[in-house]
Amino acid sequence: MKYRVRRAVKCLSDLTRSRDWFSIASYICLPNFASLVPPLCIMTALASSLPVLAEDKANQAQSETRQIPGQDARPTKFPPFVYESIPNYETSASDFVSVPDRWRQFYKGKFYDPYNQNVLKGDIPVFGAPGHEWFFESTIISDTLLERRALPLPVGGPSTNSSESTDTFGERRQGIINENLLTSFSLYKGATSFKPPEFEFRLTPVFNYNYVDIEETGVLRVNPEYGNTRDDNHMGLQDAFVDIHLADLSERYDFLSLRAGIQNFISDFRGFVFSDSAPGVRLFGNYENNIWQYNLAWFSRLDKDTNSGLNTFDSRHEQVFLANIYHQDLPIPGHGISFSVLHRRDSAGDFADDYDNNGFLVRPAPIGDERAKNISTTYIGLSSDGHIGRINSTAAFYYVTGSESHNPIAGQEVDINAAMLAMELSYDIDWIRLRASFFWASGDHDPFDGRATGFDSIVDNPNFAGGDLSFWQRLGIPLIGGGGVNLVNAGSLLPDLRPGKEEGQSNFVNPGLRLYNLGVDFELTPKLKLINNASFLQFDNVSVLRAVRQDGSFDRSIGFDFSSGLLYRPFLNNNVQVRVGASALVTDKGFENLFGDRVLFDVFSNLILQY
Amino acid sequence: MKARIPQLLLAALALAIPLSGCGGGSAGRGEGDSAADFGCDGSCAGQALSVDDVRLILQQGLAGAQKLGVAATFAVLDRVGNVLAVYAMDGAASTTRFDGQLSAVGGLEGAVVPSTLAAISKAGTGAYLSSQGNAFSTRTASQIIQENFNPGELNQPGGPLFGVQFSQLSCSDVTVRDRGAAGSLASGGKFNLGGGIGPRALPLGLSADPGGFPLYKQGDLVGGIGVEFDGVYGLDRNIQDIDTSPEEEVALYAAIGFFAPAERVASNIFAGGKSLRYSDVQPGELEQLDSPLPELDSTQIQVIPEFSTTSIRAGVVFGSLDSGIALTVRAGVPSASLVFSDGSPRYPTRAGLAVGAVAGLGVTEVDALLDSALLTAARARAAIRRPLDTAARVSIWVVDRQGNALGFTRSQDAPVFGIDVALQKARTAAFFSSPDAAAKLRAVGQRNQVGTFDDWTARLQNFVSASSLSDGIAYANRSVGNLARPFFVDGINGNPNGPLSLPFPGTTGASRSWSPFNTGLQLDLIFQRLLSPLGVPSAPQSLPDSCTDSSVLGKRLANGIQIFPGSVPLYRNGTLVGAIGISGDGIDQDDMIAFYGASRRGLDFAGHTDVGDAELGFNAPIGIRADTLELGPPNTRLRYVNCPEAPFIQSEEQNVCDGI
Repeated sequence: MKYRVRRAVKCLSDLTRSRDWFSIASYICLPNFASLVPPLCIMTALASSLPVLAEDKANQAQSETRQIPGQDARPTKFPPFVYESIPNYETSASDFVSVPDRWRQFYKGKFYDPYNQNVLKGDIPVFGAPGHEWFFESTIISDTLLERRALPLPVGGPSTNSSESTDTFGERRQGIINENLLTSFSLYKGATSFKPPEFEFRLTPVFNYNYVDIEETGVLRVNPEYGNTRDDNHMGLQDAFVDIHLADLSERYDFLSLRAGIQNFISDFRGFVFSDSAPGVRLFGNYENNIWQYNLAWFSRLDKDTNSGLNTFDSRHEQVFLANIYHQDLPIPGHGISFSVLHRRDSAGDFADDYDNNGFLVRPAPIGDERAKNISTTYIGLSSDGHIGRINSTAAFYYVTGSESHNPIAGQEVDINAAMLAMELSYDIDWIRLRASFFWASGDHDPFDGRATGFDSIVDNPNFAGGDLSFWQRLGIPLIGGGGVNLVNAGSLLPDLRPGKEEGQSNFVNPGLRLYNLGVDFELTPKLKLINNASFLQFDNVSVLRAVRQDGSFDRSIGFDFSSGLLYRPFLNNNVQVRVGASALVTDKGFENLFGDRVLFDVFSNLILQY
Repeated sequence: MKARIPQLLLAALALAIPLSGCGGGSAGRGEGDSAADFGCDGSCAGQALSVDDVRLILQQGLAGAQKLGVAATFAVLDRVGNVLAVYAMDGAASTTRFDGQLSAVGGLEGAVVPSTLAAISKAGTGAYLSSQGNAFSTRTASQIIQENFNPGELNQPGGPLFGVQFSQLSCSDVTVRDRGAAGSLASGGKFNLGGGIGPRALPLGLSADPGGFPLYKQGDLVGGIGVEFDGVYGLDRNIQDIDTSPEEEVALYAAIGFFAPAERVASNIFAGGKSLRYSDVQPGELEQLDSPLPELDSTQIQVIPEFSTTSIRAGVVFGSLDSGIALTVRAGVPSASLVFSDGSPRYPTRAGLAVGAVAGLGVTEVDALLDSALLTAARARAAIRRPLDTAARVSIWVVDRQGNALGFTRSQDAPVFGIDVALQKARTAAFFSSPDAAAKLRAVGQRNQVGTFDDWTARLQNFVSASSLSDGIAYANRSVGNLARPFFVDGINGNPNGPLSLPFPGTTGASRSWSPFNTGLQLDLIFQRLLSPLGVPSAPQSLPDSCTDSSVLGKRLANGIQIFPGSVPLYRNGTLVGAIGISGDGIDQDDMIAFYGASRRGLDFAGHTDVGDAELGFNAPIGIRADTLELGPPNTRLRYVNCPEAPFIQSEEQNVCDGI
């Protein structure tokens, strides 16, 4: 027992001393690379590391082992009191009087106070024999969004909202209210942050309410009789898993874990290819002092609720098998490289047609000949993240091969052969970060040749070139006059002509994208961050758009996407966050060919409260 | 594919340099003559089916049928509907039965008709719906006339050409009786024009039963082939599957050597993002036919009164005088007009009847409208043609309030079916917008003898308002179409039927139910005159002068109503003076060509700044258009027109109909 505790303390000390916060967080939620609820992981790490930090600080003067910036790490030697301060359950019965157990040293007993030791926050065991304690951890996050925007919408087909609707394009204005109440409950056995838990059960139900107000009918719901507003709600189970710590692989708590159930997973640093909360089984761990991290996983995706984007309990009929491996400090310290292989089998074509909650067909996609399809693809990806000297760098390259049994645009089976490249470089000057990035997804050059060369993801959610602050990624834009699909879906970079990112199937006969981005972020104060992006977007190849819109005049250029976002954290933590964003798409010729030439915009405010 | 991997990798890794170049033209998907793209975009001319061609087509069809072990009936038509041959194999089923496959009751459902007539209609459909820019088959027709588009996709509006099956009818006053064919019927009032040339009627209207294709020579449309033998004259309800259709397969065998250029076939043409069906059998799936081909038995050549003769005939060159459609140039646009055999126009522009004290449309005004619409079509980006960005090709009629044809023109190479349909549309808009429509509709109801003629006026008035069809509301064809669908709102499955349609099969308490062969008011109006002249079921053996009762309606609905978009009524100082009807391209394009063509904007563009209202041109005052009506079902209204996205070639203009 002593040995295990010692190891835990030692390990965490190592980490805190080297200020490697990523690694600390990773101990709790690794190797997700990022998580559905990143604050959850980070907060857990922060809260649980507090005592150690205090301890550390108190003894800073005495410590001779502390690494000095710019110098090599010194050999780790713990002063003897680190060990002595830990009560010995087996022998020192008298210690129980003054210090019942180490968990209760700072306990104030206030359940509503997440900043101090709290039984609801996994700081105090809820049951279990000494050394086998079980902890309960809960999180509640309220995420409230208010949004106004203008983007192209069609007038209704068989009926319209107003008279004199004599053209295809209608009023563009939309208003949105969206509330997500995320509750997460975790029961785990282990020594909180001192070492990876041995068992964890987690349940994350999310409750959603959404309301949309537009100026056309037949858009929010297929039946125009429902009018031009829609409110909807849904409860989705975003986590429901058990995590079993299978083995420790080294003195430094390299480990092997198995996680089974609905879990969030993002397959690379920025979520370019697969990012989902899906039931599955994942074997993961690290090795060689966390130098290696790896995943081996199988997911069977769930269909999503149309208007909330949360999980339903219906199968999406899509299986994802993946393996990835990440190596830190490759080729140089501070820079990591990840290699991944993903195989996806989408067999939705074997099942009945699927309509979304608003009455629109989503599988098969209402485009082309509308015949059902299955998809089998394999992605091979190489991605990197880190810094080279003072330059921060992120890059990802994916190649995808496989086939669609029947692409509806092509009207035939297609062989897939497509690629994607993303690169971002940034440079920090004090409180200013300058960024430049480039994204390319190959486009299809001939929809009817039996070869599909348009890149598409399994389900992407990229945090790149502005992410959800940018217009292009934030909003779904319907391909008016080109079938019941979207040109681009909300939360995606790819103009992949799916009827929905989640419910629609991948489509490799698409125009692809080129994005050139410049950005500058200002850490105005520790509480206030301003993120600015300007991107120029082009289709990679417009052949597909020409075919589906029966229009040969399409230009490549989409336009300029300008966006700014302000993140305010009044208490320097994630418990209260205010995000305000504004973006505009200044359209260029290609977009105007599709939708006309008016400036499109989006403004939103977002309040996040977290317990 | 393996060879492409390194290329792609290289391309991706070299991406510091942006990629350049854009997609070229596409090769098309092998449902037609993939080896050849003759570049015909309306520019090709001079081709026609020779007697030997027809013979070869029949022999190939015969060989194909023998290969499948079936006995078929074939018909070969030229592009204007002249029946070049009808051939029934020994043992071929002599009849076929209408079946919309919905278990619907009433109308033509269950009617038994001669297979020869079905074959003629199928061949004619291939010829009439197609052009040098698009090859459509009867399977294409099936896809675009059902209650949802695509068929089977729930909650989507009906097919874009919903109701087109009831056009090109023998009772139409614009189709011409074939004097070269064997005759046995009294002419009635039916056109029997000098030389008897011009677009022909199809005995069963347009067909949706797979097994009819267009025929091409050197990229030019020369006619159509129709095959019937399975005893069911139906349609394809499920377009997600791949049909096994022996009729289609035999028709394709027959068409070998006369396939459409691959790039022009329906499957390369996207309507509202949905590609159209051409054939579920691919030419590549056909086996080699045994040589020599079987000989024809001349005794099996069928003589169909009013359609065919004992000998195989050669087709006429489309656009030649013999075709009844003569090429010309109007307002600088290559166009065509309907002519007598001596070349004189069948429909020279004339003035419309006055409406009370309000002058009817004058000759100058009619010509201005025809010019304006033709020019609008020439600017419009075609929705159903390849290559992309070619101009829309349509047929254009202007009628007066009494349905009299005041003038006609058409773009060269516009599909032939539009000649009859555009006139139906123009008359429909003029009729429904007339304040006496309610009274006329009631009156005509008393005179129908076959089936039940419902009180359509009362139904409409219950649905819209008590004064409907007498209140002068302006109905465009799109508005009438909205009311004539088996669901209101159009396409919302499970909703009750529109007031001019019938309940969808399965609706409790309905004695008659909707199907593509029982469309409601549209069919009721013409039912009596539709098939009886051809001996089906049994009725006076004479060709009628009109599809509706001319003693009540005169010419007002002489070739029947049409219930899909493409016309607007015309006004002078708020008084209805006529209508303009368009057919031949996408329905949004048809709408725009009518609406924009009649507008101040369109007339000015055509240089006719001195005719029409200073603001509206000839369009209806905004306040009386049907889209202003308040309807019972919440949040619903009728449409007036819908102009398309990116409507004009060489222009990025959008929303061009805004405010006109």
